[in-house]
Amino acid sequence: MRGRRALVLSMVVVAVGVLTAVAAYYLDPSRGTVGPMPGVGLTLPAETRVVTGLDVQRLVHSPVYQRFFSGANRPQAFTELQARTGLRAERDVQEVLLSSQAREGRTGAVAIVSGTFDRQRVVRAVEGQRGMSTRTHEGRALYVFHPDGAPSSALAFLEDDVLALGTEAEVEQAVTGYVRGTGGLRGNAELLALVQSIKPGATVWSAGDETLLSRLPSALPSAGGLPAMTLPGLKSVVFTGDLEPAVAFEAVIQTRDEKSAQQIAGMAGMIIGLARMQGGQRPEMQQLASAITVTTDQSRVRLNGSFSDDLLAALQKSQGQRGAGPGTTPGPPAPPAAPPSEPEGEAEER
Amino acid sequence: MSAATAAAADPVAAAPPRPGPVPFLRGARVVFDLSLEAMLWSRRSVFMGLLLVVPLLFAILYRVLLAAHAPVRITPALFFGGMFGSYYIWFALPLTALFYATALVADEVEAKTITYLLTRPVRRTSILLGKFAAYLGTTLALVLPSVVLTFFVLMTRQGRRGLALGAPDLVRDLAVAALALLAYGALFTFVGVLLRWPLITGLLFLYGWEWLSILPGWAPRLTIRAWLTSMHHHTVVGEGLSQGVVQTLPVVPGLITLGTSSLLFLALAAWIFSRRQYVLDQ
Repeated sequence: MRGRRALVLSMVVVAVGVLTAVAAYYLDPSRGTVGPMPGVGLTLPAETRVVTGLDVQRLVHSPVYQRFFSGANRPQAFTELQARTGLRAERDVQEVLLSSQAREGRTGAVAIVSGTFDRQRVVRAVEGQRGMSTRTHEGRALYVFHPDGAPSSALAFLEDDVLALGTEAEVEQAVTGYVRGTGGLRGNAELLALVQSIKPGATVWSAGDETLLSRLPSALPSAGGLPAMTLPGLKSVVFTGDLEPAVAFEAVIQTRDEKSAQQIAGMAGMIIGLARMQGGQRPEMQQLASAITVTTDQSRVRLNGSFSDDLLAALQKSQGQRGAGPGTTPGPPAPPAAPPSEPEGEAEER
Repeated sequence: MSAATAAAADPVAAAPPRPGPVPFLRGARVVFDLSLEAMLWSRRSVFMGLLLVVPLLFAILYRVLLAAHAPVRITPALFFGGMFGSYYIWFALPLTALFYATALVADEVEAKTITYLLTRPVRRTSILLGKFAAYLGTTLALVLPSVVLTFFVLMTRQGRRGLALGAPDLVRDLAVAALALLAYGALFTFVGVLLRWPLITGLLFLYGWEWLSILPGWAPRLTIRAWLTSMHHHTVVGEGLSQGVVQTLPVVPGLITLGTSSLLFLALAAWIFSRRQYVLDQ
């Protein structure tokens, strides 16, 4: 039967084509990872000074988030993301990569958001925004927002479930890097090496290179009982943080030389000492100070901290009392804040 | 009285029992095989093949002339997207469906072979189902390789990276093309069964009614094209002429709408075909 043979041959052509394309998709370097950073992070502009990764699902399901950030204390960034894209970070977002860039005297920022969301729904939410225009860049749709009196920002889908949003030029660069598969963060070997040095698995991690730190003031003025201090030369900072089973962090600061490292360690020790001194009035500050250790290793300073649940509860209570102000008696506990309402039409469509 | 004597006395009772109609699916399969042969190796297929080879020729032209010798702003992905969003969705797919699906029954009527078909012990619904399956097989066999080959010619310009970037689009586009052939095919099968001259009605539908897809408000939801356009990701809403007009419709309701309408049109076509008296002109 010639007809059936032709049909089978045609389907073989289609199957081979699809399998080849899908294999290329899954074997693409952008599917790999660099340290804790997903491969798509390589599309961030080469001018990136600091890159931060956040495992959103681990964050929002942690006791710390429930205690400090749920309800009315929801992070502003999550609310803004929802307003702009209709995405509810707690439900739709898996991971966020935040980055900051500087080039020719101007700064920019771009975030890469990945998760499980319906692209069309996000597109419809974006299209509904006032002052939005659309254009294509490298064959991809670029949604540009023109807020009154502020620099324009943009949003683009790198994949169906990965979007880049931030300042327009930086999002454009991210799209270019993604589409061409060249350039991007690959051109910033120093920052890439820092990211590579971070062990995967942390809830939050961050790496900043010398260029970021060069913008810090070279001296801190006298304040809060601290004498004026001159900041030694810093080369890089790498930070990792976890929220479970206990809140713990590690910050590794690389300085120019051993002397600078001693200076940084001295400054950190002084701040911890001040916290200890408040221990008479506020015992939780004493505990907080005891939970942080500072060590030096040649030109490197390492800060480690681990905070128990009891300590966090004490800090929260103390914060609440200070917020109520002197002379006020604490009232009954407030009812839990209602979760933020969903955008119109979203609940019925789900 | 022996059985032989009884049979001799009553010849009607002695005749072998008349065979019943062929089982539904077996009948549909036989019709499918016969129709597939007839559809694939026909002048119509040659014409539609030429129509579907055009994007491939453009892709080769792009690779050989434009991309190789002149710096162009149109990337392979953009070119493929434009080709799929404009040529396939607006032109090639509806026309392919129109020319094949309206002819499923009309060709038999025109060739005066419908009588022979209907006198076979095969249910009419079985005939229509077999013919529609053959239509889907033929059109998919023509359209999908055309999309895949065009994709490969264009996207391999960027090497493996190009294929990796376009893979999700390719899979989605193939599914959208198949859905387009199903939805348009079911509609035109219904039109072909209902009307004597379905081709003109089909053309009026494609290049009249389907323009509602670019209107604001609810009108686009009444077209097949608007739902299909919302399912592939090649149209940038708000860009160019479509600024502020073309809408992105949700995918799941689109699948439900096109799936339901296809079933409805097929059921109506089967109902009309199974009841209609075909009187041939002498």
